[in-house]
Parts: sequence; structure tokens; C-alpha cells
Amino acid sequence: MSNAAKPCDCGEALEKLYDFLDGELPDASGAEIAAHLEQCRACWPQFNFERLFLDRLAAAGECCEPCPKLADRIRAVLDAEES
Amino acid sequence: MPSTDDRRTQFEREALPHLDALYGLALRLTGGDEARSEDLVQDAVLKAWRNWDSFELGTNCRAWLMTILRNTFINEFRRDKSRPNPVEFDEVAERPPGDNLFEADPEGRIFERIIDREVIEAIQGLPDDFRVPVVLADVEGLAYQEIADLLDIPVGTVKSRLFRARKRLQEELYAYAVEAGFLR
Repeated sequence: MSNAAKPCDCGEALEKLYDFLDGELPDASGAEIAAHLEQCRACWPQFNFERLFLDRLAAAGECCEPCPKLADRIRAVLDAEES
Repeated sequence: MPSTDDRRTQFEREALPHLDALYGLALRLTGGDEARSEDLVQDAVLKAWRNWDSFELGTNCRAWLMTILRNTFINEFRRDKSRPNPVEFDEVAERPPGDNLFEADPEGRIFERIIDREVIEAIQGLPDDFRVPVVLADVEGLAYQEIADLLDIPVGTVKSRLFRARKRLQEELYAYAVEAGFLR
């Protein structure tokens, strides 16, 4: 992160909140928001909250779901393919 | 080229340990449809088996299988014209006053207390056109442009659906938190 980045204002930061958290902004634009967050007590909590939210979605979404009968079903399909 | 037995043994060793992860992704994408998810996993694994000779051992087999499953689902999803118009969700996605998780819990403590099942059910309960972008972005980590290309919709639509879906999920988690006594 460049220390020279000029901070953006709150409106711009909040407008680009998800673009920033999703890593979708060009480096310069992302650096402006990062610089803003370093000095804005109002915006930082909202960004932090949304980051925690997105991390929680990712963690839950990656959970495995056991389905014991699937392995047998798959093996049967592979057997049929080989025969 | 390994013998058929070696090939099968190798495939089962590399691919079958990932069935639960594949089934999990399939459930997220289909909104919890178990039968459809099992079919999806079977189709994906069968495609992987048929293309096994092109898989480079030592690379990420799980990621490869997940990509095959995702693409298999997307092909079906794009062909399915029977889905309801997403406008319906747009209309009901407006937040009722007061149901704001951030205002109620600005430090996000709820995210430590809530169980995976509740989060998963909230995701799986979203309408198709909103759930699929959320799964692709927030679970699979795809970029907006990749999602737009896969779903054949503009990037702006991806962003708008993600925004609405995430707000809807926060409303669901808010309701859960109140019901569970985490928030008042």
C-alpha cells in the first residue's frame, strides 16, 4: 500500500465498499480507500463489519456435506464406464 | 499410460476424498436440492474420470473437480429458462427500518457466535439469481467479470445482485441473532 495515496472521502469509500473488499478496484483507487480507512473512525467499523461478514460466508460456504451413499453410487458409475 | 486398474485406483485415491466438498458446493449452488446435487456430483466426477489422462498428478485435484462441477452446474443453470424473474426479489429486498445488523452489532460479534448451518441455510434460501452469484463470489472467490461471463449477464448486474443478496443475508442473520438471543 502506497503511503502517498490521497485519501478519498467517506461517500466515495462507502460507495466502493464491496468493490474494495472484493479486490475489484485498481491499485490506485484501492490505495485511496485504504488511506481513508486509516484515518476515518466512521468508515472503518463498517468496512471491518462487512469484511467479517464476507469471511463468515466464505467459511460456512466451504463446509463439506457428508453423503455416504455418493461414494458407492460413483463407484458403480465408474464400474459401468469401465465395462 | 497406466493400466486400467492403475488408472482407476489412482483416480479413486485422488478424486473420491473430495466428494463431500463437491456435494457441499453442489448443495450451495442448487439451494439445497439433495437429489440434484447428487446428480451434479456424479456428472462432474464422471467428466473428471473421462478426462483423467489430462489431469496432471500433483496439481490441485480438488480445485479441478470443483471447477468441473461449477461449470456443469452453470451450463444447466443458463439453459433453465423456467426460473422466476429476479425483479421479484428486487422488490422485496428493501430493508425494513430497524433491521440493520451493522447498527445492532457493529463489531460483528454475531459472526463468531452463529453456527455454519444457519449461514448455509440463509445462503441456500436465496432465490437462484442471487444465490448463484453469492456462491461464486463469496464461496468460490471468483471475480465479478468471471461471474458475468459464466452467467452471461453484465458486470453491473453481478454487482447489484451481490449487493442485494448480501443485504438479504444480513437481514436473515439479524433475524436469527434476535431469535437466538444474541441480539435484542
